[in-house]
Amino acid sequence: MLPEVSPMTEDGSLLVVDRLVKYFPVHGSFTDRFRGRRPLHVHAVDGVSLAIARNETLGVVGESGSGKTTLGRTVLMLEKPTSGSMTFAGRQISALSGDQLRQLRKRMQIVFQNPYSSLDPRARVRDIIAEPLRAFGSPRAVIDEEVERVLDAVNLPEDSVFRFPHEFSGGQRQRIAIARALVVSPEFVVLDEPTSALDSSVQAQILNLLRKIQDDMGLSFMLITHNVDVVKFMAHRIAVMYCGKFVEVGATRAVLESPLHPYTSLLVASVPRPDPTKKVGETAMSGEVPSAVDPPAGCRFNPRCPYAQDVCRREEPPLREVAPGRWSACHFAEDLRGGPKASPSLPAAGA
Amino acid sequence: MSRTGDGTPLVRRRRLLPFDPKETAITLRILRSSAVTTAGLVIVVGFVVLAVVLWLTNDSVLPYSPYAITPALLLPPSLAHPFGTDNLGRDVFVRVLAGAPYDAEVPLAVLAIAVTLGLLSGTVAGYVGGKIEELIMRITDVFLAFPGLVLALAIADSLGAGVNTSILALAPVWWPTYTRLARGETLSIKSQQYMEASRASGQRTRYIIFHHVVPNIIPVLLVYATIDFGNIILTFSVLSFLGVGAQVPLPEWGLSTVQQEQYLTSAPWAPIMPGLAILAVALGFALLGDGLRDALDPKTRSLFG
Amino acid sequence: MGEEERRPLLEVKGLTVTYRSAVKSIRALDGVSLTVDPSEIIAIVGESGSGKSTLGLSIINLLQKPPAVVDGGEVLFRGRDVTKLPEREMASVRGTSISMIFQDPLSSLDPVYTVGEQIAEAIEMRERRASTWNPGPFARRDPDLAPSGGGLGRVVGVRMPRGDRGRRVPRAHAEEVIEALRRVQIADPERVIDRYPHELSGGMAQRVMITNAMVQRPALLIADEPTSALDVTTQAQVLRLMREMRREIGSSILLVTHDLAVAAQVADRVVVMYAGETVEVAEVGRLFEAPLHPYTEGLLNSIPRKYREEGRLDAIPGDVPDLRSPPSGCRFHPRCPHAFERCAKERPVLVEPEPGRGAACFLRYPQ
Repeated sequence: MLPEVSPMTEDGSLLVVDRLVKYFPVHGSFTDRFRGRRPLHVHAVDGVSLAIARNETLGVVGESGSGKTTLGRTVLMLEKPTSGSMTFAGRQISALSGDQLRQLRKRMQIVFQNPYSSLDPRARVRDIIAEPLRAFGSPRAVIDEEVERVLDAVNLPEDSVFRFPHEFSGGQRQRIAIARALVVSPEFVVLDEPTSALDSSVQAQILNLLRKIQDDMGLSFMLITHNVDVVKFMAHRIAVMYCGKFVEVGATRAVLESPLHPYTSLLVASVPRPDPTKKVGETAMSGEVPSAVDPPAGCRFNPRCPYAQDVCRREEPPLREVAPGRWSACHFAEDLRGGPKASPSLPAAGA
Repeated sequence: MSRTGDGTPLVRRRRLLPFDPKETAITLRILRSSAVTTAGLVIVVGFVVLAVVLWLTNDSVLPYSPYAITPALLLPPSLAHPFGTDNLGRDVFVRVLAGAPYDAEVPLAVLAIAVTLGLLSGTVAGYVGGKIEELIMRITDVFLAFPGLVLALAIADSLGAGVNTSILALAPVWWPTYTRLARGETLSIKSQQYMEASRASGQRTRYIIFHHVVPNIIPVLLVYATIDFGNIILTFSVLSFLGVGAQVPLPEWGLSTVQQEQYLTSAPWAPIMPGLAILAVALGFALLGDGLRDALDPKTRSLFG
Repeated sequence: MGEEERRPLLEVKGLTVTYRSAVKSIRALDGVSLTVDPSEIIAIVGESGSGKSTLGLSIINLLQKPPAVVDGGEVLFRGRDVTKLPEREMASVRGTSISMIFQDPLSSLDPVYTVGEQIAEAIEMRERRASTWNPGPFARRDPDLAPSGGGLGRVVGVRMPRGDRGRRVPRAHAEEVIEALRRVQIADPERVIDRYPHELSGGMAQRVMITNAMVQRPALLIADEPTSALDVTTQAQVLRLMREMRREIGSSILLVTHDLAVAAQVADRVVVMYAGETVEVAEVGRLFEAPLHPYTEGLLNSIPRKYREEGRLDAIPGDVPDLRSPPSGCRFHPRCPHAFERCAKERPVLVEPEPGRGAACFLRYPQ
């Protein structure tokens, strides 16, 4: 079952993902096999469905262990899915390999988190940015023109091409990484924590730049981040991810202002505000993210949820459409409307 | 779009070196900052220059011939003969100098083969992994299992003695070390994000290996090779010492040492000076290589520019 | 209130620290001053290159002495200049009076000892210094402290099988360890004490670090980006923990961070730094209501607080300056929307019309 296509565009979805699963094997001892123990897996992505339209930004928000980075990489086919299917511009991509997969890279690109390690320190900027085009054997003249075009789009001076990455600041390096992603004129770009490694003052510049590029070039973004403020500014819709699954999906403002899942509430309540009168952390919610190898039975959030009931410990709630355009994976999502505090029908945990 | 007068985009305008000359300058600065590494640098550069000059001029710049037998047997060091003469009346100083090209050529050739082979096999093994890696590494292990000298002797023996066969005998001894080294470095680079970025750009494995892996691991291999240079000189000298390396009347240092050995007590300059030459050059390369290794450390580099 | 309590705990006066190497010289701190009172929480806010970490390390005297050089100024802790103390005396100040925790807890904890052993060791150091060292009935009188592997029995001082070389921890200390872990809201502390650092999550490891530091009851705790590597939900818990620690133990905290919002959560006062200088100081409420320095204003505006449809962010243009060749005059002037001629020529000095509130800016204080 798929979350509804954004009502903001009529083009239909550019990328459709259906029940995507990605497990990583955990290597046990060689003799485990003989003792009848089944191999363990990290359930990085455990059944995720989504749709992204053209010109849309879908924000995937989660903390460490949520699987959001793996999701981004699997969507791009940098990892082979364990099961599930993906369609890009109407074409099945989850079973592609070899040359066909390489051709896909002209249309789907990625910007990585760390501008210090995502650029080859021994290559000049010109070669770094030109590389995606070189991979497809574009002629030299075309490459040079495209490199200039994207440099201009990211506001880097032309003579940057002759220099090496270490001569640039973090913000400038991230611009180089963005230029590299744009040089093939893709339709869809995964942004994996694009500003987390940058200073705050630079972060704002890069976010503005990404918005502008999206408007100018008509791109779709999947923005992966743990930063609620960033996703608020960038995304049309948000998907909140916990322990390999989406727990809530909906339009940004709606999800952040009236969450329909206790984890979303916790996340939003934990973001420190630049306002000394509003302290975070005062709610009693505590606990750690559960192990992705052996997730809790029933709802994965139940060990930390203040509203957990018996059914939560037994049955895993499906991601369902609770209200038009609002999806939540909580047995009691309807009761959370109006805010968790205003839910007299939900007895306290443990009942 | 900025275009120069003739319409070509700016990016095309300059011819560029494949490496950054500012980084080379920093490396030199670091080397010159310590007396010990400077000494190593001086010895190595002097040695290389000497070898090249003699090779190009075919020994003609030398005041005496390294081969001509004269009656001036076993003379002690003097102004005319700074290192004295040997048992066939040849000037020892001239013979030491003339030996340089051989003790330069052989290690250089051996390293050229070993590093190239090692780089290729190691990077492929490290990057591709799986069965190919297994295959390559197990072959490497077989070669590594033999004690180096024994292997070199065995090969030299079957191929016949001589300088060129020595190269062929020594290369298989050194190559596996570079395979191991290259594979290790490749593995540690593999997880760097710029490698993944390259894959995400649609690049083929071949391109990634040559354009990203190799340039980033070559510095480490070169440092190792520099330190190894001295070791190869030593081993080659031992081969000559044992009779399967350079043959008479070549002025190669190891050969000279054994040829004059019997005069150790009566005319010590004859065997000792070539031996000291081996020592000095091996030491110089070791010091330089050590300095280069320190120069690679990013923390040290940041102090120098 | 005694004389001790009226005097500021820490006074930094005109501190200048330079990193010198063969080819270049970087002024990481240029005439920085601040004071910390007992039981006060101060946040030092700055981006990369601001010198905030150098400041923290200078106070506890952990700078790498070459290449760092203290070119000027003093750091007075309880009246004594710590930059001039010989290492032995400084070592006795560290841990007991001034403690420090870092961004990455896993590299600050020794991987071969369990959590319980490391905290117990901190307790022991405190007791030793206080000369109230009481090993208890089960501990061996062994000056060589050599704990070996875990085991609950070990920590609570139960007699171990013969032939075992390990050290036993007195029951009183073990109980204090468990209680301290409980106070930082680690669930199941009796089990956690036998865990090794790599078995803990980031949030738990950081809480163990805080416990380690607090168990020695330092007068001043320096926390260098303690929550930057943590998830936001864990960060919220740790920040609340720090507020409680101040209430319970009475330590002062010097919190170094790049995140203004984090500063808002715990600090009483904020010091904003840019390119090695102090540009603004204020009590926390006033800083956010009415920032004085254009940089502070810019930083506040950089926090994306808008939704998508509300337009673009007011970003500060340009980049943080290269400290090898900092801009002339006011270091912020190339990026400042209000810069005028004087800003490029003269360096503004921090002007405090009321104590604890002021800025280094010609726009605000023509001087």
